[in-house]
Amino acid sequence: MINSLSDKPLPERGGHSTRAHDVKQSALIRRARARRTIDLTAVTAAGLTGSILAVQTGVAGIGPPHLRAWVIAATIAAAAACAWTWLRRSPVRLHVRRREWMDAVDLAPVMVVDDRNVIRHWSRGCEYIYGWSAAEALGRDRGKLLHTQIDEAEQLWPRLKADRRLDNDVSERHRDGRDLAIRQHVELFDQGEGQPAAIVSVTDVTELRRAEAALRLSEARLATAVSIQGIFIYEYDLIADRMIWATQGDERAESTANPGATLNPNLRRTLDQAIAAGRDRTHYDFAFTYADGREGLAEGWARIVRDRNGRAIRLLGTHLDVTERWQREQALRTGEAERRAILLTVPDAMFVCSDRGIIRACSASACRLFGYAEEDLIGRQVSDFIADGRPASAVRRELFRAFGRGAAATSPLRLDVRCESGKVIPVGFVVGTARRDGVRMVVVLGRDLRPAIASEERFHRMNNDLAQVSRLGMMGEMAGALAHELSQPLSAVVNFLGAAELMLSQGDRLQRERLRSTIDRASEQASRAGEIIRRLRAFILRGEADMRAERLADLVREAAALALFNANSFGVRLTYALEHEDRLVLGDRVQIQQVLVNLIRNAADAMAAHPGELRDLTISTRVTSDHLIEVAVRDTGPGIAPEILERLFNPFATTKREGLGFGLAISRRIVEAHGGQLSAINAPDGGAIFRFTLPVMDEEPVG
Amino acid sequence: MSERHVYIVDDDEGLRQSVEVLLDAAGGFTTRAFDSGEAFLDSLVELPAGCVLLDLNMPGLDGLLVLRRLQQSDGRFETILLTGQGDIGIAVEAMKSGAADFIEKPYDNGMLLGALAGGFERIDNREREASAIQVARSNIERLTPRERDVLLGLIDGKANKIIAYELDISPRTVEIYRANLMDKLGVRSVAEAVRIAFTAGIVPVLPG
Repeated sequence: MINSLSDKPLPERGGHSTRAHDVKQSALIRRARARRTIDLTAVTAAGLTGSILAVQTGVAGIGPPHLRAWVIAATIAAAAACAWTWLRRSPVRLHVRRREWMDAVDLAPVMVVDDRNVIRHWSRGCEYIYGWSAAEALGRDRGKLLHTQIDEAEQLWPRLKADRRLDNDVSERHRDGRDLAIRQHVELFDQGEGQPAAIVSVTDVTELRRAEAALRLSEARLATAVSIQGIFIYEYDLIADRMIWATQGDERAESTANPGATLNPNLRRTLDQAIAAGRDRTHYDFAFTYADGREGLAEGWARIVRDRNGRAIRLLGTHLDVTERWQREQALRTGEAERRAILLTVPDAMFVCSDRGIIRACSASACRLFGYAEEDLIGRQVSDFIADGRPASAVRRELFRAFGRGAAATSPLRLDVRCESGKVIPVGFVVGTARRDGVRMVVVLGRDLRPAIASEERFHRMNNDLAQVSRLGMMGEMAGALAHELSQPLSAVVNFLGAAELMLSQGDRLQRERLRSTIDRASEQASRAGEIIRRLRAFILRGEADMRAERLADLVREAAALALFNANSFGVRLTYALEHEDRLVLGDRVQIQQVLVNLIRNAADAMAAHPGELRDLTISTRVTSDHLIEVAVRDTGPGIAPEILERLFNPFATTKREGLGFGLAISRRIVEAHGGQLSAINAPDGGAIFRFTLPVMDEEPVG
Repeated sequence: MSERHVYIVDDDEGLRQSVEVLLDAAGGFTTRAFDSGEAFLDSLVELPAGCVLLDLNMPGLDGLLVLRRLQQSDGRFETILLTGQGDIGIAVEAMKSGAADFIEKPYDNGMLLGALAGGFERIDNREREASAIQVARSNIERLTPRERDVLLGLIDGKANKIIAYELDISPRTVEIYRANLMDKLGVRSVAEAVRIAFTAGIVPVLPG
């Protein structure tokens, strides 16, 4: 459309002044041709004006914004100059046509100010831009009306007087208060009578400036992003061997390349290899050193640009600092290697499980202990390997409870594990938990308890032997002390009685008083011997009694564990029938346990003496009255022989070759000292039952 | 033999009294009791010879220590050790240390009295022996040097002629000396004279 109305080609960027000049020249020619050409001129001017509008609306879609601005400005300037020339120089008055034409031209935003900046002409185009009508604007000071702001060096009139024209940017204000960015083209002309005036053609470039600012901002953002990422971008001239352009300002990015004008030689070699191989793209890693001397690692990508002959001429590349990622990966690799090493060497069986007990990883020792290959263990439930007679769900519940407690558990969880071979081994489990990537992981350590149990048994046996030996030693020592203590009064008794006998034999000279006194003194010494024995018994039985409220059920369980930890207990099946487990008894813990251990051992020994028979040991408790609780220890041994039963609780009554015969005697004394009774009967269906009672402690502890 | 002194050393008062009563009833003993070994040893010098009934188990100095010190300082006492816990080791130790007897408590009265009797017999013997030596020595001291030489020759079983030759005198002179010395010693045979010489200790009992 433009081309059809005007034979002028679209103006190039920066060519506006030439164009304006051409337009002016053609206007002069037209004036010379006078009226004949008026129509043509009018049409041309109208076409130009139309092209202005067209440019303003249609051109907006194409070309860069600043180019658009120039086109518009140039066109407006040309149109304005044309219109003014025509108005002043042409005396022709074709009113109707002129009216229409003026209306059209008036759409161009053009104003005229005099040398005092008073607005003398205000086009309708100005009305559109500024919002002021001609009536409001005419006669007003431009600076005041439009709040014109301009650099000191760009002041209109001094510049205009010097150059007669100027192009610059000013900042003005719309009637509604909006700030406007205005591009103005100003030409000086003489109004006649020596009155200079300026014809000001304005363009609203507010949107343009805003777009430019946005562009600048986004460029700045890109630069920031590049710098944050540690990306270094460069363009390199391979022919001249120099850096054409590179991102700046980031120490990290610059460190990745040679900061100088030429590429790092190592890098250049790598790139040359890629070029020689005919590649257009290449990817490389390279080490570098930070300014502070630290080692770094970067990853680079380059695009090789070739000329028509295939010669590599330019290089576009980016470097990314991957030091941190590399270090993380390194740490991860190290961690993984450590994990493998731990799993290979940890002496206890180790499992890493999900919190639902699914095995994710396991140690070599776990494979050895369980007898399964690693791949047979991974993915299975830990509880699948537990075989202690309970249903799997119960085992799983217990395991999950242990998982929940984690490292807070104070003692290992003891469970029986069924190995691949079918063998069941006791294993102590310790659980720890960890969180990885938000997922809770459970580390389970299992230790084969067999060696520990064996050594514990050995230890207990040794301890028992030792206790036996020391008991014997103590008895020997006590016997010695007792012998000395008793021999003194007994010797005295013998002496006194010997004296009495001698006195009696001297019948004729018998002195009754002397004899009586001698016999009295013998009797005194005999009493003294008795006192020594009483003192000794008191010492043995009550010397260390420490009466406290104790849970009988606990005492029973502990004593049974203690008593059955020896060889004779092998194969004994222990059953508890404990009523009122929470009831407390008042007693000396050690002494009551001594009684229990004694009865339980007797039972186990009695059953061991008859191999092949059933070995059932039952310990039961029941409340017999308001104040007494009865403990019964029942075995399936041969029972008690009738001749023994009578003197069962006397000292030295024993059926055991190595026994001293004191156990039951002492037990009875202990029970009696506690206010209870110890008795024994043979059960009607075989075996012996020993029963003893203890006083119940009231619910409310006294004191 | 006049008085029979018995010293009772025991820390147990009842026992001390019972022994005193017993010995009093038995008669013929003078008793004195000490409640410790130290008390007994302190009074030792003023005590007449006698038997010591010494308890083995005492606080302070025990019986064996008291026995050893007693043996070192004074040989006039016969010690009978009494113990409530006798064993062979202690008994052997006691005998080596010079105990006359070792009795385990409680004991039979007869055993204690018998042990005391044995002790006093040894004391009596020792006293008799001591007086015999005294007599023999005074007799030997009455001999002239020549008579003594002849006696030594006789002890060695030498004939008169050999003695005469060794003393460079005549056999006749030897016979005169021999008659004189037997007269002075109041003996009739050479054997008797030799016994007195031995008792007096002028020649060692064993040759050497």
